[in-house]
Amino acid sequence: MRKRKEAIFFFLKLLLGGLVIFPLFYGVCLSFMGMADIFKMPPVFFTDRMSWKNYQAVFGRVPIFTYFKNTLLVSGIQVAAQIITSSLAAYAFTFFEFKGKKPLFVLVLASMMIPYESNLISNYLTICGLKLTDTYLGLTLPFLANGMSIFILRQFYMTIPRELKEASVIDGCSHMNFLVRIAFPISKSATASLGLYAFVNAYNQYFWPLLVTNKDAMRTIQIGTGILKDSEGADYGLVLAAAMTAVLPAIIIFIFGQKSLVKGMVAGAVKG
Amino acid sequence: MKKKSKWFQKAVSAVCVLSMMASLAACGSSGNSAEENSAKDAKQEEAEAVQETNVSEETGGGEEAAADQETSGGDKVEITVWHMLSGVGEEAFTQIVNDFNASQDKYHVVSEFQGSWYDSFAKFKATPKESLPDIYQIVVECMGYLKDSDYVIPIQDYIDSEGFDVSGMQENIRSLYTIDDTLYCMPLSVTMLSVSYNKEALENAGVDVNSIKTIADLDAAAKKVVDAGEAKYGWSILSDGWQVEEYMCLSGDPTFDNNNGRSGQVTRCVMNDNGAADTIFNTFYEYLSKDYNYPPTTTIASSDITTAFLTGDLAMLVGSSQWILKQESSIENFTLGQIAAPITNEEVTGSFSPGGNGVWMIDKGDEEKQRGAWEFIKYLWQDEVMGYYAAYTGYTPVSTGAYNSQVYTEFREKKPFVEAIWKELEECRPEYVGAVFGSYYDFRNIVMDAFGQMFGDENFGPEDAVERIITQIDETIELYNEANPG
Repeated sequence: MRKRKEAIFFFLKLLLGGLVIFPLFYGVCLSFMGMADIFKMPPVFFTDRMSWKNYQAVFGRVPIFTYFKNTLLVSGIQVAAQIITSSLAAYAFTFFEFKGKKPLFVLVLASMMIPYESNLISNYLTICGLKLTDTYLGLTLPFLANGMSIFILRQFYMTIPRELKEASVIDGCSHMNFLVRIAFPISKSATASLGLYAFVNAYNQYFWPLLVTNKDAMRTIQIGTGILKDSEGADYGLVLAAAMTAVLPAIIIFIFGQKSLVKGMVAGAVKG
Repeated sequence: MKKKSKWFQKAVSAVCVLSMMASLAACGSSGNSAEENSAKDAKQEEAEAVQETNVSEETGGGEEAAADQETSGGDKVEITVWHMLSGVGEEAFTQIVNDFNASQDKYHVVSEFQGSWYDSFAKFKATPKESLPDIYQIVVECMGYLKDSDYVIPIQDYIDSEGFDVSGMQENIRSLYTIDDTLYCMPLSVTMLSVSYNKEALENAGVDVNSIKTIADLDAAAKKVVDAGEAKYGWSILSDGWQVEEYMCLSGDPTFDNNNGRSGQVTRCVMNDNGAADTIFNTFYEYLSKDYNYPPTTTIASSDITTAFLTGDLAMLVGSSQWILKQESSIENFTLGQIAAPITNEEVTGSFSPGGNGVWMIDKGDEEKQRGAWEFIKYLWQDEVMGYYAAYTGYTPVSTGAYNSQVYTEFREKKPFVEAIWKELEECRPEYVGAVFGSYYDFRNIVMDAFGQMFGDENFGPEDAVERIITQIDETIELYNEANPG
């Protein structure tokens, strides 16, 4: 009986997994085809004319490695900065008592409610005014701190037992020491999940990098994919080859980080 | 004490990490010339490879261009171009830029892709004047805004001051970009509304393609083709809104007041004041609802219709001539043909309008850069260059000279049907060219939604579609005019 139940669940999970994987799988298949095969009805997954042509064209036509490097660098800076700023802020919101703590935290939360698009243009004007277009600083400056990240970490820090803090104070542990040696290590899963969240966000940015960069050498992978897409249509094989290349690092990072991601999300949700 | 030193160590390392990050950020602008060059190298090689195998052989100069690219900079005046070209358009444009850079040593043009036309336009609108490019390439739809802004120098100023000869410019294209006798930008390429058709399917079904003049003719041909079993569907139309505007031009009635925005700011949509829009929507509804046709709906997008055509399921497609021509390589089982788009009925008094894009000169107050920008635009205007661009991208040339250029003549020999599209352009009349107004992007979406819903929703007929379009666009125009008075 139990075995049967398990089998059913396994089958269901397999089905769901298949459903999620399918677009990716189809994308990979199509990225090896020419337009004529892509448009075949009913759709085909494999043909004997599959080739690396699209990938060769992508690597030949745009400096995709430069785009890659930029994207990884920009995402890396954003992730590192967000982890640093949010753990500091979250610590202050959790363990310090000060005047205006609540309104300040509400302010942080409020920043989550404002859609990113609505201050895009004013941010762009600031970056232009600071003459930071075409720099990594310009690409990352508005994303070095984030309300959502502060919130995630603060929720996690709230779950750290007061006794732990008290014991460490008795032992003469300073605030910074407590953060670096105790709070940060035990919130590894939450930090990892916010890191992943920040990474995916940074990786997927399109309009911001398009706004603040002009030079090819400063462009990110998402814009590179945009160049391949035609103004009114697209050679889908080419675009998909670029998209599959672009999605690869994100998938790899997700595979290695998914345990922490799920753990972090669940922890935040239950205790929050 | 020991504890304290450890803490100090940590603090120092943290500062180190932070400063490293800061320096990384700072070197972004300066430390990348090497990568930039290697990136350009790769691009250059590709461009050359393409050039060797393509129609561009005649323009020559590609290799010298590659050599010159590396030695750029120095005392040269840098001219920046923002463009919205991707795919074949970008390839051809980059080649032209490289050729220009190789042809003289005073200016160096840098072309920068800024996303699709609405992304690029959003960026343009948000950017402070001093950060704008020297030349801006964009579709004709953005003309309304650009003309109203104080960012542009009408190209006419330079033409007049130098007596530059643009008499070869196709008359209808000139009038498209001309307001109050001022030519605002230099046209780069043109596309026309046309019927792309499956040559074999039509021939086998015994349809004489030259007999198709009206939508009724087109539909009769479609029925013949489907009855003969030559295709699954007869005909369809791409539904991105542009097609409806084209049929408005054809009707002879303006779409907007103030002479389609050409003699003053648009204040309302007049497309149905004489019932022209109702006629157009009813005609499309009547014919496309037939079961052998393939109407666009809210779920069948332009890309689905294009796919149906390219795979041979759909025999005839009304849409931009360039849009299908550039995808010809993905057609496997039939030969592509194109003719002028059919007229609504015999009563129409107007003509179709050319669509396309042009290059604008931006006023940044730097005399020398403007001079360079003008030099580049003059280079672009040469018949062989324009002809090369048209042949490479599938656009229609913008001047008689370009049409008769060697490179485009060879292209015409390979694809004789482009002559029909040129003829269609010649037969347009200047007084019926498209509207000039600031909310084109919204208008397109509003029309596309209503047009598609008409075929999918029984309770939403052609008149409802027209009514909704007018109500919605009038609201948009009001908002635009409040934000951009005068």
